[in-house]
Amino acid sequence: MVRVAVLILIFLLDISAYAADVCIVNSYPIPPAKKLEEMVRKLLLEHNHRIVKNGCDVKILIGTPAVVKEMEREGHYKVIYTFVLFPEKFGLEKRKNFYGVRIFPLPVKTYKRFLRKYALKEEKVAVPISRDMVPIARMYLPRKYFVILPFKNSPVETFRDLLKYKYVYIFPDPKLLKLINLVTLVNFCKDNGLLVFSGLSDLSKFNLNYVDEIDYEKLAKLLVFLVNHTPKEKIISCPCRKL
Amino acid sequence: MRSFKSLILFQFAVLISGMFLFLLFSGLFTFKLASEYEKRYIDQISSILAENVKLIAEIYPNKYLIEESMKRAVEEIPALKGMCLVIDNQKFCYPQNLFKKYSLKGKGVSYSDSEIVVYFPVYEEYASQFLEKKEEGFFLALFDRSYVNEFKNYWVLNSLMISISFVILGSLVIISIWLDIKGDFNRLKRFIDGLNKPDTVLTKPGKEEIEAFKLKEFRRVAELIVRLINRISELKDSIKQLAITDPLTGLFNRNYLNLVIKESYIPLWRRKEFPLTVALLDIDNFKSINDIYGHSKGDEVLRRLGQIVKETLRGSDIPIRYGGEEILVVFPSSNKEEAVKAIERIRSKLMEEDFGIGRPVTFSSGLADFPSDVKTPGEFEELIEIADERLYKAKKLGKNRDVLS
Repeated sequence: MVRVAVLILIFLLDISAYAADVCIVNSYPIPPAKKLEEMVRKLLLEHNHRIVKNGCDVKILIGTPAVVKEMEREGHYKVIYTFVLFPEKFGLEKRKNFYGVRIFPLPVKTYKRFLRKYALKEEKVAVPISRDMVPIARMYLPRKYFVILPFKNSPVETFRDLLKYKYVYIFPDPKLLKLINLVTLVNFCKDNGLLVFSGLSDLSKFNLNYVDEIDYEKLAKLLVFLVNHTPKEKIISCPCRKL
Repeated sequence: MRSFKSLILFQFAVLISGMFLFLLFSGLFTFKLASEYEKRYIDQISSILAENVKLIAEIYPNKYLIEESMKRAVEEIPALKGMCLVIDNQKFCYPQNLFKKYSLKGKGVSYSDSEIVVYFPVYEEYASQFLEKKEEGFFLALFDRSYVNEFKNYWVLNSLMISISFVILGSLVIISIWLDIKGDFNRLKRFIDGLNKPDTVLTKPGKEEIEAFKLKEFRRVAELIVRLINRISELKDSIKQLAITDPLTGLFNRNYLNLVIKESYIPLWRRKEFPLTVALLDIDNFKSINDIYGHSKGDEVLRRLGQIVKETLRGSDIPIRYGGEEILVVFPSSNKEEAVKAIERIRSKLMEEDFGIGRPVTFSSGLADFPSDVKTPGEFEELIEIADERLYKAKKLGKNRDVLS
């Protein structure tokens, strides 16, 4: 009897030794996502969490496809996500057990950092957006700072209007981010003295004036923090490197 | 046990089968490789074409411009018969009817008798990797199979020709080595057979005979065999010599008397009935030499006497150490009067020797011959007995003399 009690105690101690059973689903086969996954795994183990494949208390999702798939399941565990461009598009902020970290900073934050870096005056920012993306863009671009310039096929359609502004913000619009379109837009802005900035870190290679750089270490820490904590805000800002 | 010939035949059959299998597999492998290369070539050409056309469509999505560039590509690439790009619900094809005919083909490369159709999806390309790639259409390219096959067959044929050349070259090398080995084996067999013949004198064969071996290893084996046989022959000779020779005097011993004289020589004497003299020599006062000057002096006297006997006698005379200081000499075809002359020569030579004992060494002898002392040839023992009696007589008469009667 005593032996059984001791065994049960050891078993319970062993279970309690793990803070949480965490599943990780990475649906993005790109290098930054893989790097982030590795960092998260390492941090989870450091924080005494157990990484499992099934029966998890918390699920960390990397990438939109993983989130979309998870939304169909409706599990009773906590879901933490990142690498989702527009969480509001899927209504994730309204989901009870969903918590996320943005993969690009809100445009206003990027704009403020951009102004601070170059000590510029606040002025309206032009944002060329394809017509299909305008409703989503409105959610992220407050009228106070941003003016949306819609186009149908190519950002070239907005060039005449762009000349009225000094700053141009590159929104993560698939049509705008087509290689040809982006290169054409950046070239036009450079030729006409317009300053171009964006919150997508990997656009730095296209010679933009300012790009927010994601701090992946902080991002990983935030994800692990969300495993044990439940903040008030459902979507946490993207952690960027300091200027 | 398998014979050497059947072994060679078996090896030859294995070689031929190996060559056949090599060519078969080489052919199959080459065909497979050629097909793989063809597929990759088609795939890569199609990818480059798709990239070009897609780029034009993205920069300036003008139907005429795109189809004109497609037409130019078809004219410049002989194997290409046509292509189609469907992107953003827009369709660009050259020739125009291509889409209707091939748009339902599955993804990948498909073959018909005369055509190769390549069909693959086209994805949107974004400046940022945070945006998911989406399929935005497809690309279709049509190739003339006969043209592609012509190139492929030429390549396969060339590869096979090279393989066959290597096989032939390799086989020739192997066959020539085999023939050398076979020739050397036969030569070695003949060589050993020659050495095994009973009448063969075991002497080292001529250099030419050994040089005839083509392979160094066979030559070494032949040389080793010859060396061993010669060594055995030498050992045999020396054993034979030791068996019939007295090591001190260098004269024949009693073995020779029993084995050669009695068994071979006496029957010959009996048949031919030639005159024969037997002389028994005994050193005078030999015991006193041994006693006073030691056995080494006695041995020295005996050794020198043996040398003198050998030097003085004819080649046909047979000297034998008969006892301690007794020497028996057989004189074939000689009577005792002739034989005693030889004995006298020996005596005078011995007396000239200075053995450091203060006096010359002498010997006495008794001689007996056929036909004067024995009437029948072959009575060798009687002759020796008579000679012994006469030796005794010579000793009695005062030593250092020869008694003939």
